[in-house]
Amino acid sequence: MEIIKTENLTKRFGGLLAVNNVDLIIGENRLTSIIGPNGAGKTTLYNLLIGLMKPDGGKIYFQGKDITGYPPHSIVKEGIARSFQILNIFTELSLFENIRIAVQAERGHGLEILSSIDSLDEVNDRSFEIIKTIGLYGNENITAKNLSYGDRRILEIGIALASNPKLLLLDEPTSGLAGRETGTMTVFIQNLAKDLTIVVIEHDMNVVLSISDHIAVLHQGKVIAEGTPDEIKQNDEVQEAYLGGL
Amino acid sequence: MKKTIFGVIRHPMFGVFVLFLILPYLLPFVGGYTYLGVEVLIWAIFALGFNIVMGYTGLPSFGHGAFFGVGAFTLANMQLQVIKEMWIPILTAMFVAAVFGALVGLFLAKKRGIYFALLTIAFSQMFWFISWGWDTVTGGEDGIAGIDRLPVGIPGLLSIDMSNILHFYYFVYFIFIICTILIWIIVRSPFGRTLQAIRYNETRAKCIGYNTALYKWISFTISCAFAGLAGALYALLRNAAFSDVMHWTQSGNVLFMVLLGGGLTSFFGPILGAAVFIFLRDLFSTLTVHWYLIYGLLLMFVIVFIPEGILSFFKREEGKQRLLVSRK
Repeated sequence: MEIIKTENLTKRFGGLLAVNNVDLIIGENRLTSIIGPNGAGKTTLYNLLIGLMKPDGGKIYFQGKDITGYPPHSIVKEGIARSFQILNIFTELSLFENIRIAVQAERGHGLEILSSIDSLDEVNDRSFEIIKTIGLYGNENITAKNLSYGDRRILEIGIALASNPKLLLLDEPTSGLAGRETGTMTVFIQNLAKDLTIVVIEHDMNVVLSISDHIAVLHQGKVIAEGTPDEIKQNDEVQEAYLGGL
Repeated sequence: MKKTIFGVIRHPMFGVFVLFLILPYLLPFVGGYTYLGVEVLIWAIFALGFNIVMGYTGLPSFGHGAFFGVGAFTLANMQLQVIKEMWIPILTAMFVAAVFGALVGLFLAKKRGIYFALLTIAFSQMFWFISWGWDTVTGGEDGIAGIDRLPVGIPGLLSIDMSNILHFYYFVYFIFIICTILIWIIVRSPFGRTLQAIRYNETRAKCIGYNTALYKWISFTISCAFAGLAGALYALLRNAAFSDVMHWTQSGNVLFMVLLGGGLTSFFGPILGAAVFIFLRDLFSTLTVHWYLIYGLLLMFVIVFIPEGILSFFKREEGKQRLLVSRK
């Protein structure tokens, strides 16, 4: 069963075709990795899927519904959330506030102007639940910018999780992490994937090959190969473009 | 119950209210006078409301003077042409300023940073030129004189003479208390928290499901309502409304108050900023007609040495924040 499908999706920046007629199908309940060299159009693809950029052509269907051109806040409500490669958290807010602000959006309390946020028990309880899920319980009152880099990476994903998505898009979740932290992150993503459809953009091929059910290879804005990790490893075109004879 | 009362007394807001309650009796000791106290209260209302946009939403508006002016002229016209009364003209002024704010806000809601700032300047200049030329509504160059501080009270029971400046002080004090509590509630509401999220990271706020343009628009409109209210009270204080209430320097003044007091990091910053600004102006203007020059230097000093304002000296421990809900 597919969860998201793109048809001829295209995005240009001047003369550069960042995303070039991409037809991509992401299956439900599995972990798909998108790999490709720098500049292959991976992050642009995410920005199109989440509505931060408008495509120049093509369509995006989420669970069969045409969501092309939707603004980001509507797309989140449909059930797609993403994390960012370059940390995009609320650095000046506490860990707890970072999560709660996302839960509050998901529960639709944002426009309440005369009530107190601290008295919204369902929002607060859910926030603690997510903080436990991401393993940062006990650090709630620490300002986000003072968390360790690894914890901020986890928080980055935690904020996306708080939107209660059906599809989670992760953009280089292990970027900048040291060896042991990468291991922790890999296990974390694998755990999430047990009951969530996840797409990961990742450069670390060890991570990609160990966690993915399915891999799509993007090169110069086009999908050049798709398949299981084993199929991808043996694909000559992929070897040429990216893996460099792994 | 005991705990609640103790909580109220310990609250910084309580201290602020007590201070302003006795202020008229303290002023003579520092060379001040009641009129000055009223001005502080009015500008404190303006600055607190302005800070919803500036401090909490992070949108640098350089045009709020326009809505202050809209409030003043609305009050003048309401009182001189529609109803000889206090409350209805004041509330109408607040409402009309909010409507103007909402209309201007439509053009601003999708902007941020320098584009937002430039547009607010453009709009406020437009308002100023219109006020200068539209004689029938604003009195043009002459402004509108003859505004009265009419008695306030309960018909048939109680009537308080507002032409007495001390009475008017407590009238404005009463409005100030309501505004402060209201704004306190707003910035702590789910809506207020969302504004802060937008200030720190608008892109992420969009990506977790907030229609940020809508929030910015509402925030701008609310703050314009408070600007209009302050403008109306200012017209009552001066018994007149002149085009200078719309001048861009008014926008600059309120911005300076917020920065001076520490509105970017503290709820009470704008109140302190308004008080310091008004008292220093009074002091400097007796020394020289070029008191703005001293202000320029003071502004530079603040930006270089205390960029987060006077109240930033009292900031709590770095790196941790209070958790107001109990851990589950």
